[in-house]
Amino acid sequence: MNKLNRVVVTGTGAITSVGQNSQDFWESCLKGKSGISLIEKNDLQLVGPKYGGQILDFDASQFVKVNDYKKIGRGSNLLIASIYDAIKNANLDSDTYEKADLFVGTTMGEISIETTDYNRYMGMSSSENLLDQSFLYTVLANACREFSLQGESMLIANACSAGNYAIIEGYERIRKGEQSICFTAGEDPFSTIAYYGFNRLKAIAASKCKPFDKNRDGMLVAEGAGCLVLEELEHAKARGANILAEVTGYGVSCDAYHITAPHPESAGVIQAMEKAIAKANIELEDIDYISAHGTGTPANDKAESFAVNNLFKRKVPMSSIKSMIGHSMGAASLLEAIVCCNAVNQNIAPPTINFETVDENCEVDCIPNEARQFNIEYAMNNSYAFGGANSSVIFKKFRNN
Amino acid sequence: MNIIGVGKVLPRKINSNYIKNEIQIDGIIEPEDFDIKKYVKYKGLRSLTKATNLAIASISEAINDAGEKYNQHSPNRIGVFVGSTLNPTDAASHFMSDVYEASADFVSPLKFSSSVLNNISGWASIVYGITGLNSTVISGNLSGIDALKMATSYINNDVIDIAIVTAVEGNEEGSIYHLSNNTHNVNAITGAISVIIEKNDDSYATVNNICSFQHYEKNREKIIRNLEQELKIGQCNNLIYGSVNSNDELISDFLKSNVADYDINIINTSKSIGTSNSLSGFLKLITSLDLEGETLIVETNEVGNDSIIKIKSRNKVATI
Repeated sequence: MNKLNRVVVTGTGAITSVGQNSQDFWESCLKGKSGISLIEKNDLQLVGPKYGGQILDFDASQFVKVNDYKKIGRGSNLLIASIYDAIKNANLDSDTYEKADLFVGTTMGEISIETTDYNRYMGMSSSENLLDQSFLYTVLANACREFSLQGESMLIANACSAGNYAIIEGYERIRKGEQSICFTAGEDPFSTIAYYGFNRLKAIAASKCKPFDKNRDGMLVAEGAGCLVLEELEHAKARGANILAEVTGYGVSCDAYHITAPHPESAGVIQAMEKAIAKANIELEDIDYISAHGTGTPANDKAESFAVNNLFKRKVPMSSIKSMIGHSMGAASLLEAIVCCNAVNQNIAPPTINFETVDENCEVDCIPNEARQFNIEYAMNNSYAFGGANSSVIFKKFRNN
Repeated sequence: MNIIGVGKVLPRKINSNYIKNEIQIDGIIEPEDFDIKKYVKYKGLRSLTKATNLAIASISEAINDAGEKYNQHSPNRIGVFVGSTLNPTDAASHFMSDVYEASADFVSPLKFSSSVLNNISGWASIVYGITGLNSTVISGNLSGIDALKMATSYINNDVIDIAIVTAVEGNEEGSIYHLSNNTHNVNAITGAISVIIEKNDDSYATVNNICSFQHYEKNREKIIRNLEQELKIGQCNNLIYGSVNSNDELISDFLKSNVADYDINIINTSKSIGTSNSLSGFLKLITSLDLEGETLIVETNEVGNDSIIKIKSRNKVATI
């Protein structure tokens, strides 16, 4: 077998309700800042009152330069803003980044432009001028146009774990020597469909998302975008890049059980973690921290904690930033991957906020309410989705040898 | 990577001769008398979207076609990959209509899950008990081809041994509204095509290479440069193109000017396939299985990603 390349993370970008760049996002996570607010948009008042992770003061005009930000969807604008942030943090020049591949994970793409046009339903002015943007893959085309990307691009629609699957695509392209640099991203605008859908599934919390807490009552719909710059190690070193972390393995599986509910014995979740550990060529005891999927729904948290406790046979420190920013769908696992990169780089893990009461059926070390400093050599990013699409990606503290 | 099974649920008249002879389709044509129960006995399928059922039916055909070569594999070494384009917009439209016009608190939760973009691959994995992985790609005309590329990658990286790759278009009301933008008639094919791929040599055809790249409004000539490069290698007997967008004219003009340089059978599918989105690449793919020798397939989007793939047919059977 040919020698495989090492894949490193050299830049991160984030647009979230707690920070509109990667640095602010990370600092807010460490402080346990909540980005949850009351939802006041007209078209979201048919149930409620409800809360969510809205990016209330996002001004696309401050980010988007090539596309007309008014003529593309919010998902495209969020994604483009996060890529600009990643480019800046990775210190990439245009000659370098234009050659990159782009892999984007999403749950709903720009579907909301057409199907949730409240005004159209109410016979008022509509967003017809944006209709040609509602083809689901336009988010990808808009980002490629913005950055004059010349490589391969792909929109991976694996719902809430789509970001992890985007990372896996980029990782393999670089590992096999097919590419030197990739943008791997995740995005979703605040989805009216997801909001009413999760409401109907009775999965939305009354006001706070409380992962792993005994009194948790659901998730909170959110929006956001995240981006990782993945690079081949020698390529990164040659241009003097600051290396944040190394990607060393991944595991994927599917439950083949239920379209929305997790497998009761977490078989697929365990399989994904086992595969990731095997691919990274490490042992169970090497994992120091897990960025949990941690949605805050009773069933999901129970299934995830059961899987982690049964596989590791110890309480692995495991926090959920969804307690702070809500569930940003396609962006979620990408933003959580940024957490993993920073965790191994800085030896600190963000907390799970809103934690009050231990649940004996869901007992984990969720790093309650305050960030924790400890040595983190390996971090695992767990992410699960509709359709039983499970994924785990492992990040390692970067060492030259 | 080799194709060991093919399944299709298409209108009867859509066959290799129809596509090779570049016959014009008229309007949106549907598989006749489609009923999922004829393919799979699984409770509750009829309540799913048309696209989901078409995909599940075509997978059933492909699994039957591959036979023991598929059945010998453990479920956790099998993956299912779906290329889809507009299908979720139909379910999403139905869901949101109910939310706005009836009640947000009593709308069917099934309509919500059907609107999630990976609904089809999720259901396929449930119905066929596939636990390796399921994944969905949405790339317009490239959706099927990109799903094939992703599946190939997971097999080559030893995550799975075998993959089902499906391209599907349901063309329900929301999709048609979207396709036509309410301005003109649309010619498109409704249906699903599945192929099963693995490294096994005993196959219909080999997928030799998938070259993917990006173009914009201003640098469409990149498609021609890449095509020219492939043609100069000179191993191909056939070229299939036609994606019903501005790139078709560009490719046609190039071929007219340069056709004398290449001894190659050219098929333009823009009339016979129409605006079939994710099916576009897979209709070309299964046509190539019925051609002699090696075929270049060019698939493009109006703006965005493009692919040139190389298929070497073994002419074992006429698949359509």
